Amino acid sequence: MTKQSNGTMLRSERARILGYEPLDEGDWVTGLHPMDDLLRGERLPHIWCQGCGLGTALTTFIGALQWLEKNQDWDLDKVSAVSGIGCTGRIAGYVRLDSFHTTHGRAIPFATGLKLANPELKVVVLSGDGDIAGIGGNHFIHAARRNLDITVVCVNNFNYGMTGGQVGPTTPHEARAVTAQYGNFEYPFNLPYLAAASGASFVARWTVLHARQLEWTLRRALAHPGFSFVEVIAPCSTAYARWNREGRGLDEQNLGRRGLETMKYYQQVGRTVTDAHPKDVDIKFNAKGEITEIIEGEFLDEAKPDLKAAMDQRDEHAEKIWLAEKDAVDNRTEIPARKDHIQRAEVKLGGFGGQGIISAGRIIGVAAAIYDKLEACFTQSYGPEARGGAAGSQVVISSDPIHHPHPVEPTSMIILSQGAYTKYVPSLAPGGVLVIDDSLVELPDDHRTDIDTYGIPATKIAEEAGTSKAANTVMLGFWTAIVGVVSREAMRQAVAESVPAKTIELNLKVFDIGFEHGEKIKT
Amino acid sequence: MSYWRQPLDRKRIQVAHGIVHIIDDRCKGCGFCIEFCPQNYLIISERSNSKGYHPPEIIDDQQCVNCGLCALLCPDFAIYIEDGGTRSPDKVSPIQKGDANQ
Amino acid sequence: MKNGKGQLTGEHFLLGDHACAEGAILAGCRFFAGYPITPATEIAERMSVRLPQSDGVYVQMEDELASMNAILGGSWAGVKSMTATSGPGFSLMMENLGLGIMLETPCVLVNVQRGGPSTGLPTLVGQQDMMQARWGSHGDYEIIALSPTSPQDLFDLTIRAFNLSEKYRTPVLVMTDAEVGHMTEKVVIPPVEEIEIIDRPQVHKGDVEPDHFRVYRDSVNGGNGYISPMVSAGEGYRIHVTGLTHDERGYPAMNAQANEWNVRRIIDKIQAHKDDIIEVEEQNLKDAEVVVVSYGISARTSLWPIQMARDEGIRVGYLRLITVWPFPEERIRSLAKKVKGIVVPEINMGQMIREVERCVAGQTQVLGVHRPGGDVLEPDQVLNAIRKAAGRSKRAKKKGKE
Repeated sequence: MTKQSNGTMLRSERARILGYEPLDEGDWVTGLHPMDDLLRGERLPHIWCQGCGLGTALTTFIGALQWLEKNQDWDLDKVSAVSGIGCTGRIAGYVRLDSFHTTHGRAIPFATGLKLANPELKVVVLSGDGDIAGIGGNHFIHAARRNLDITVVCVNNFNYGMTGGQVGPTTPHEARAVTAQYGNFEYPFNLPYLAAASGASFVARWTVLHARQLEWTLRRALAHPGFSFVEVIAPCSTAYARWNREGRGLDEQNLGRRGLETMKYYQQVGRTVTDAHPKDVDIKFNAKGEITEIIEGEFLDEAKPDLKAAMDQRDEHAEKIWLAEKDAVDNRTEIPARKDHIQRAEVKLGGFGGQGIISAGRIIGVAAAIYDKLEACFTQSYGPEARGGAAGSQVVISSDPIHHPHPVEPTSMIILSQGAYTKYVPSLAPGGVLVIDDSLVELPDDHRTDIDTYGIPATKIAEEAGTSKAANTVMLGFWTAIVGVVSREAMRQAVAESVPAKTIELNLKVFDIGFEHGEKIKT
Repeated sequence: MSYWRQPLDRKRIQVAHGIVHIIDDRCKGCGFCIEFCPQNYLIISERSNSKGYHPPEIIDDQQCVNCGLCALLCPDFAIYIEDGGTRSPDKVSPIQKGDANQ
Repeated sequence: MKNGKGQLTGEHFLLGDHACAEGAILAGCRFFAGYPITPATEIAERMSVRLPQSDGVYVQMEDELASMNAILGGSWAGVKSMTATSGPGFSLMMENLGLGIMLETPCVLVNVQRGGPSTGLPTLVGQQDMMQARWGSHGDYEIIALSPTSPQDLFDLTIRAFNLSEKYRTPVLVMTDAEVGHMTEKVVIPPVEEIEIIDRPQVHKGDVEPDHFRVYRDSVNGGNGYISPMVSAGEGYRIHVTGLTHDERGYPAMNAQANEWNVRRIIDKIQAHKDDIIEVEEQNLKDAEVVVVSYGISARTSLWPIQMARDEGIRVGYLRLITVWPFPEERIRSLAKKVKGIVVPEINMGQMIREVERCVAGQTQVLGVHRPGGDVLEPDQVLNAIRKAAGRSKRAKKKGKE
């Protein structure tokens, strides 16, 4: 971006564009500092308190970007900054990049969408500890697990600053906060360890005091392919520092500058360790909740495929499946549409899970709708998703539009288990047709006499032909012959396109056996 | 510093020099630049800016070694350094902290 | 991401949820983020198979909060995006539906409604989220919601939802239900050239001087005052958008004046285009003494009792809300003056009937036919309400056939 020569916009000009007099804007003069090109001067000065570390965090971020632009030809137009809510969340509003200020905790999922939909973008999430590790904790660990190629910069100031200093997921045990005035009874996260354990491939931590090292780390983190996580420890001069020793006591004369006192404190407790294991980098504190050691450095830098790369590896497979599906549709056999008028026919299928009750129902639907060109509505009864449980499906077939999708009073039934017999047969319409697998269903003494019942040893026939799994197809052939709502040819086509390729022949064979058996019984 | 042994090649080494620019009106007086300047050559000035803060002041413009830490630490984009070339190290000696705070 | 590849055409016997996915792909959707939930899971399943075949991206997120947010991100990256869920997930999505509205982000959210409240009836039908669709996210806004009656309709309306969302730069809801989502029927998918596909007004690199571009004002490239052309991330405009009340530049503006400008903008752009957005299906309204006003699966199942009532000599009309929100106020108002009664069947304890009653304003009687979730309405329930509205005595209960 070229240096802005126009500097600040005149207030009157701004008012003309906005249509109203802006009430909340400062009079920041831009173009004075080498980083001003990457700052939204019209939105500055920022809201951060005197002594807050966020300004420094932003400076190091911009420094890293400028270095990447200069030395690695980064096009900063392709960099997006995403923030959540909180003091850190304001960074998105100050940095002159494509920047998105989202809802509390949701910066990472928003960034996920940006990055996956346009992998060309470099996406950086800048947000606070409450946003990333508190309300957004779940998004954080999952993005790390996926090794999504984004950089997450989490500025940790040990409390919820914007709302006035409440205890948070990073507040040390026994430390004080507005909502932990008797001492924090919870324990904090070790964020680098959390990130590393979740699958992040680059993990680091610096206090803002180590701004130079932080900037170098940010360069590497931004350039890292995969999920990179940088925890930035920063003073909260107004809230956390007021409640805890880090902001007071070092210099009695300097109480007005708690941020500075905190920085000096970091100088005392910070310890740079190269190659520390993330599990060992928890922030140490004493019995009073005072921080006694902050280990800093880069803890993890691992090369592994990022999410998009892993996705792209599947493309070829997807393409193959697609071509097969397209081929099946393109080469579908057309048969003449049925000319006779079919009254609303309701078919109920019942059995137990694993018998193919659902697929049999669907085959009837395909035959009626696609091949016979009738109206057909197929639904299934949802039971426990386990084999052996009761299974039911139903198809309504008609030449006219089907308004009511369910059978109101089934006109025929295909029953493959005793349980389904007991459950469904009472609802069969008087005069309706019941077809059963009589190797599985035994008719009781009080079997309904107002219906027509036909039996076929379907499971036995299927077993003899090669597999008991094709019993449903035997039943379909049998039912087709007896009920006649759907044509034999339509059913054969529907069976052929619905069963696994290797079993087409076998299924058509047993379908025909069932059909011929039905024809015989009927006459 | 004068107690230290001098490197043998001290005469040949050149030290970077920086020219410090302070944008008074952006300063919020946090004191980071003053506290952490390795050369200790910044102090709090007597003058106040439009917000009422006292921005930093340079006590000896010869002393900056262009390390850039003040610019990087400043949370308010109120200070930056321009490259001032290099100079002989004889002219550079860090100011003792006590002196700077006088 | 290019179009054309992996687009299915022809006749298919499709599950409603699958038809929805196919509609989305034809409409140009190339990013789907979702979370498994009955009865919407099959949309995600289909998308996970079909998007990689169409140069799109499917990602299963950690929850529905993330799913809704991810599709906003996808949309701001310039890609048409969708998510699908049911009641419990719909509640989670409310948070960032609000963000989508505030950022003026085109995207589609499908709610395959099941019985509630809470975990409710995961596998069984409900229409209990209709008011949540309108008012579920906090604050004042307008929403567009469509309600389909069949897999074919779900396919068609998913395309329409994308078109409306792109045209008006706002999230659009497809308020379907477990019945339609889990029903398998014939779906005819025309070649993509025959489908009207609307793309968002957009500004690309070089179209406008970035320093003078206003995210929420500019009217170049087919945009107008209320619907500004959208800039995707990476186009060099260095835009900023926020869920905070903002001004035309997208910058936070914390005052009442800005809030009024902001809220009016997102409401007015839909209010002003109601004629284009609202679609209803009408049958026999001219001479109707009773009108059945319904939507989704309840509208479809009402057609049978309507036929029965007409066979009995009652002049029943049918008004189906294809667009549920914004509500067709004018149409209901004008009907109210002419008819003896309005019957509102829906699978909830009385939600859209409140809107009907508001518009009728006492000018005619409004009879609800309600049941909580679990099943579609029985034809007799609706028939009896029609008879009552027409002032006919209740006849002996009789089960007829279509």
